[in-house]
Amino acid sequence: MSKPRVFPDTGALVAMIVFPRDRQGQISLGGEVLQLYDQGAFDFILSRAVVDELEEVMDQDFPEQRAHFLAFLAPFTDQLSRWPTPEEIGAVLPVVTDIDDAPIFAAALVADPNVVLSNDFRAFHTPQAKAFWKEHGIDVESLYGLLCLFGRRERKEEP
Amino acid sequence: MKAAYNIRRITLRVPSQLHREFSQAASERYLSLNQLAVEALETYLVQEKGRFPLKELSDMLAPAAQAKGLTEEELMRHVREVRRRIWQERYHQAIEAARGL
Repeated sequence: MSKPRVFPDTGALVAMIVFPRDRQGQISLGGEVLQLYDQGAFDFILSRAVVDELEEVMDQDFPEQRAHFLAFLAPFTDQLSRWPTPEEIGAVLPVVTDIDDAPIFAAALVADPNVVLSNDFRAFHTPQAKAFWKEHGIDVESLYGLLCLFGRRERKEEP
Repeated sequence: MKAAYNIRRITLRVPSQLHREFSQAASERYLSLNQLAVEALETYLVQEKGRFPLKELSDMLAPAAQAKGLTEEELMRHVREVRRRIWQERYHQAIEAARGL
C-alpha cells in the first residue's frame, strides 16, 4: 500500500518547520508531524503556490536565510505541483470563506492528495469546505488530526 | 561547544578547475570553502533521500525565529498578509477576466 500523499497549507508548513518546539522547549504538534514525515510515514506534495507564499515569508522574516532556503529547495523544483490556472481558481470561489484562499484550494485539487493539512479552521475546516474536500475524495486534517491518523493521538469527539 | 566535539575532518583532492569554480562560488556567496562544502554535502544527502529537506530547513529556521523573538501567531498573520498580497498582485485581475467580470 502506498504512503498517504499530504498537501500542507503554508501555515501548517510554517508551524512544522519554524516552530517544531513550543516556548517551553517541548515538541509541538508541528514538530511531531515533521518527525513522522522524516521517518517516512507519508509523502508531502508541495505546490508552487505554497512555495511562493513561503518564499515571500522568507523575504520578510528570514532574509538572511533566504539563499540557503532556495538552495535547499532548488533540487526539488521538478517535484512541486503546478500553479492552478485562473479557471481552476475561479471554480473554487463559491467554496472559500476568504477569496485569498482560492489559489491554495485550487492548488490542492491540482496536487491530488489524499489529505489536505491545515490548522486554519476558519478557512479549511468549515462545513462547506469539508463537503468540498469530501466531494473530491480528499480528507482535511489539522496537525493534531494527522497525528490521529497515524495513531499518535486520540481523535476527540466532535461537539 | 558540544557540537565542536562532533566535527570530523574530510580531506579532499579535487581537480584545479573544480577548486577554482568552487572557490569562486563560495566567494560570491560570502561563504568559506568549508561552509560551502558542508552545504553541498547536506544538499547531496537530502537529494539522495528523495524527500523535501524540511528537517534541514527547520534546523535553520527554528533557531532564527527564536533569535528574532518571532511567535507562531505573528508568523501566521504574516502568511495571511502574504496570501492577500499575492491574490491582489497576481490572481485578482486574471480571475476576474476568466470569470468574464
